[in-house]
Amino acid sequence: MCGIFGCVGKISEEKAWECIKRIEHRGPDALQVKQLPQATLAHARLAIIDTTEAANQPFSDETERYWIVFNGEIYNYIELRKELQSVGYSFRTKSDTEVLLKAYIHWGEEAQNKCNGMWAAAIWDAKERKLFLSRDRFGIKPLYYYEDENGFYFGSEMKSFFPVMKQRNINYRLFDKNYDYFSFENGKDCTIQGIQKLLPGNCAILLERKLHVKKWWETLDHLIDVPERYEEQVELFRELFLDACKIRMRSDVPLGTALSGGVDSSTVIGAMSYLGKENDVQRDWQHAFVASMPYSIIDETAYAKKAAEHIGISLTEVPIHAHITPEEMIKDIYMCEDPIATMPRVFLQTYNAIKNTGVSVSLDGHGADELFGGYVFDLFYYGREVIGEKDKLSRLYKIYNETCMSESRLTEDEFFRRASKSPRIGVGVQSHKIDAFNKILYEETHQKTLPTLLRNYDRYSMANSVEIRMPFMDYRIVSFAFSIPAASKLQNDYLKAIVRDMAMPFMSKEVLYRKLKLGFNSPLTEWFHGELKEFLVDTVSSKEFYECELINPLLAKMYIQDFYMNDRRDYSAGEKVWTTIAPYLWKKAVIDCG
Amino acid sequence: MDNTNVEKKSWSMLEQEYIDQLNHANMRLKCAQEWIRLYSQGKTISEKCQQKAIDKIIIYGASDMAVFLIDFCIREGVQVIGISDSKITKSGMDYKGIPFLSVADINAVKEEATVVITAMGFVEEIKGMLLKKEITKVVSLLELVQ
Repeated sequence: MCGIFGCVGKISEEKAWECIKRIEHRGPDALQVKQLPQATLAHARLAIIDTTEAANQPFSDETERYWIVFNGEIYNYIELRKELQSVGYSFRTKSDTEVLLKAYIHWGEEAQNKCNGMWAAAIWDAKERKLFLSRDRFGIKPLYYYEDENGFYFGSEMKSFFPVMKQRNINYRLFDKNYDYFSFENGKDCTIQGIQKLLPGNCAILLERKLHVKKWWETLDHLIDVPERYEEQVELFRELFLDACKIRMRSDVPLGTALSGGVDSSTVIGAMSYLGKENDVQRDWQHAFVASMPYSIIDETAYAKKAAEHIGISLTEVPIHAHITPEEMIKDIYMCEDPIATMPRVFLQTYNAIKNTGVSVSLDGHGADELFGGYVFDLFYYGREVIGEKDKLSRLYKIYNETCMSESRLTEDEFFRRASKSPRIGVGVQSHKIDAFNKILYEETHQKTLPTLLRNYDRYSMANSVEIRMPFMDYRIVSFAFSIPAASKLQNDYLKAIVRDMAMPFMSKEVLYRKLKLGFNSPLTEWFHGELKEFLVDTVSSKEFYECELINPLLAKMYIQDFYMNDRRDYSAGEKVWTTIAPYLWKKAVIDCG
Repeated sequence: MDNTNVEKKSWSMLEQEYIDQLNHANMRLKCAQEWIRLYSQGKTISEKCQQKAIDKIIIYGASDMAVFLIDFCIREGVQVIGISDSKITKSGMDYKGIPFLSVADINAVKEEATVVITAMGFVEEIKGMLLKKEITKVVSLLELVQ
């Protein structure tokens, strides 16, 4: 897990150092720049597998024809290495980097389909003068590119290009009237003009300064045959999930987990405990952390404790606070790079605490909500699709009211009204193979919520030099998730029912079958009433705020007036205030400062 | 409710929503056109206020048109004595020095000021609501710039 930067064209070594240093937080263990004829590659290494210097990057094959810089992990590298050895390849390191490079040399682009993992990789063929870029199936690892008269640049974060950009302009097209915070990842354009991203499951070849982009992965082309009986589906899922966890426990450094107290992270730590005594996994995995905010209604420490107690490990409580200066707030947002729907502090503090205890890898539960239907708002979208079916709607209503926070509970009529007014999600998914609920989840997973969360969690963790591994995002599990029907995800009136049933052998029933969903989030309401009040009031009274073209300052101020004058204490009130001011803070952090 | 009724009710709500959205967009366009026409004729908001015997105004609504109107008024010396909206139920803060007023607060100054509705939809409904509170000196933004 690392930071990469490169240029095909003209760049001085000094400038390349400036660029890679912008993302040094992604990999502080070794920083290297390699200048080759026509290409410069740079790498910031977070050493996880084969931590020796021999595995530092940029890394070349023995002939020095092929050079790689790579961010991520290939979890099945041991199996691929054996396969490559059987056809004559030899290895001088124990790293997955060398496996990925030789897999590409041997199989070409097909190597992508052989890899199980997360990656953003660039391979320079010095003989053909050809650059190959690849991004993993779901975009867990980021990859951006930018071009000017001097060359073509690629990097792990947009800020790696700042030293070569003459100016940073806002891409206003993305900030139109109807934008939401989950729209920025759904397309190759970025919030800064001129920078583009290689989309998830895409690869590209740069030859003679022309970029040819190609989609190499489509989940719907990889659906699998699943048993008809629900119990057999649960068994199959368990088998896949345990293997996904097992290969993600391959590491030469200790493992930990950010435990939220919810179903997904508890399932992951339960599986780690189940697998922890096996031979070919990292045995030092018992490091669990929870963001502790006892003053907030969204605190889930008690449930995280129950999960840790169930498997007999201790839990480190990370006290979360917002006693920060305005400069620190701006720095947090700079690290995140794109406007985000919540304040990043809670996440940054959690991963910072993990790093401070010497843990550099965290196995987390991301992806399960999108794949298996864990969000209450999906019930509105699904309700919209089954609007004429009273019984189905009533059932969705029941699940909704049992799952959401008490402040969000609705009458049945109000639920129907909101469902009927919901935007239609997933209707653009052209497939007869999956049902309406799965189409909604497909869009959540591939276009909306998940790509945004993956980007955010990459930034939160990498800002602290921590790698997040996500067993639910194993491609075999994603294929499985879209191969089972909606009924398996909504069994017995539970959201994500099959995840709960699958995890039963290794996690407490009390944790798994709790219906209320809070989610890991920032306690914005409490903070805006407390330690952030002065910051907020000063911010929205500044000249810069009034003049910011990305917001409606009057509306923002009206929300804040309502928040304070009516002493709003509900969670959504704080969230509304944040989302109103966030584009302004983003502009200040990324465009004006940075 | 049986299934057919649920479906019918939902479709008619959706239809109404789209109609409302179209009406709002239309209104916005009209306002912008009239505003541009006003300034291309060398006239100002200040002159329009004088012409309509408006001395002081209270802005109602928080659309981006309201933001423009406030800026123009400040620049041209038109007295804006308050900003109101259904979202404001208690007074306290201000915007560029102009206090936020609840609808109840407007009542206290209704004799001296005219309320300008800057919302792009439901203008008649807002007028009706204000009328019920005996606030009668009310114009829409479109009426002001026309």
